[in-house]
Amino acid sequence: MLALFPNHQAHQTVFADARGTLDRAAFMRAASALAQSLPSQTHCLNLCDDRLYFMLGFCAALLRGQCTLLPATRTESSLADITRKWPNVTALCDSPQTFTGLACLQLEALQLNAPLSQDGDGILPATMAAELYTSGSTGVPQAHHKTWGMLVEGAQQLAAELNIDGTLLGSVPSQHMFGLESTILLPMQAGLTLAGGCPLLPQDIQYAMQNLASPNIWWATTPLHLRACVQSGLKFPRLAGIICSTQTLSPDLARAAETCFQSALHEIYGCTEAGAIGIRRTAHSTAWRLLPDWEMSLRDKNAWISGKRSPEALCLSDHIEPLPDKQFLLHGRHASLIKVGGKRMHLDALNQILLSMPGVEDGAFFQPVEGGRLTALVVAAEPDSAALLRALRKHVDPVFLPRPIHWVNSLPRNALGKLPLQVLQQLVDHLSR
Amino acid sequence: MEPKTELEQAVADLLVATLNLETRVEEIDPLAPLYGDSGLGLDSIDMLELALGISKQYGFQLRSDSSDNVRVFASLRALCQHIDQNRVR
Repeated sequence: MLALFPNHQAHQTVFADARGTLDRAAFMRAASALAQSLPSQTHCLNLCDDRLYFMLGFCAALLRGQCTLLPATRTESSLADITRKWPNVTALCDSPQTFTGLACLQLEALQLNAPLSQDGDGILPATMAAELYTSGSTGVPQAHHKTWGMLVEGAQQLAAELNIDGTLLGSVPSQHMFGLESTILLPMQAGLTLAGGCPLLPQDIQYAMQNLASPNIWWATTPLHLRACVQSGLKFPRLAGIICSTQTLSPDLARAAETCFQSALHEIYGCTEAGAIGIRRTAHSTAWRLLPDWEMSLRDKNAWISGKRSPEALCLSDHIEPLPDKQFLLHGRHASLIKVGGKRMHLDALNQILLSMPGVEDGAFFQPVEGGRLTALVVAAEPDSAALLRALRKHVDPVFLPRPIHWVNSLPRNALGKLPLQVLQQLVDHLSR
Repeated sequence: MEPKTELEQAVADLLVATLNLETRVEEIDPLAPLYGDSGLGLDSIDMLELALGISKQYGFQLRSDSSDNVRVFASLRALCQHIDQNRVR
């Protein structure tokens, strides 16, 4: 058995926000009560944005032996995919919200207090704890299964590398792998206090940090938040540490952030399939340290990792150069995988969706070399950007919506029907001028 | 659609230019939501970009009011009222 909170004393604070604090005993009473309120099913869908409700829902599902479903996006089609797979699944939500075709359990409305019954028992490592989704190369969502043992192992690996204690504040949602590991599992397993909220803007982040009672504040964040904070010119409290992931962080920004927060910044390399894989202090090192529970090998120019968090060897979708002493260099992503704001999709899948939109005769997405938002080149008899965006929005996460859309008479396809990247780049440069 | 004030016109220009929006300034309804699936459909990445643009232009830092990160961004008009109350230039 593996405990939910192996490093918290019964009266140690598990969660804190403006509403108050919950110690381990009180949290477990609330989680047990919620576990009893969950409809009798094998899975539950956790759509809570409130950090407390998310963690309560996640723990209640574990106590009840239910697997938590975590879709990467909440588009109509991704929620429809979930309900097709589990027709009667219940969604856990913070407050009154409606999601088409979903039964919702509103946690805000529940009185969560039950006699302590299940504290200390722990959960069997083989229990299926979470199912996360990524979009496959065909656009059909791919499920990634995580047992409780895998999740605990990942959190313990990170905790040992970071030597972490105190309070953790997160600026990332808990529903994707980095968010789940950093804002939920790490605090649970490493004896931290999880701070409520998900502050976005520099001033919100400063305010949230200034209002935490702990002298040891850790912040789980992304390069986008770091850049905004560094450029804001605001003065931030000294932090105990920063954990950053979701997209590549430049050494310059890492150094500026270390100065701004007077703290070490640890960048995590990982993916939904594996969870956290490597870690580095980006301001000081280009090489990544492989987390000790992984083994890495190179086969056919692809890097593979294996370890107890993955029952089968995993092929990584990045160009990787292994170095001695379990270190490695990352040389960028394979071109077909698009990543924006921590969400990823295959270019092929995006293009297939674009081509299936009403009125679209031909079209292609394009991501600038420096990353960031996509643009699209589209051929149609009656160009209508607003209508195309409305249609796309039903199928792809808003971060992938093209800005801008370039309406063209034809695409520069070669004799094989392919669009050479260089030709596409020239056309986009020309149209952007 | 309601006519825009001078400030609303300027902030709408900033919005479209900063975020590469697929919308023309004259199409932005000052009362339509900026955030979420309806209206302009901006997301949290846009909010970070926009906050930076506004702090450079008007000399103050935006706050999104804790978890209620939608109030200031409720509409162009709400955003402009907030800018008007807080701007230092």
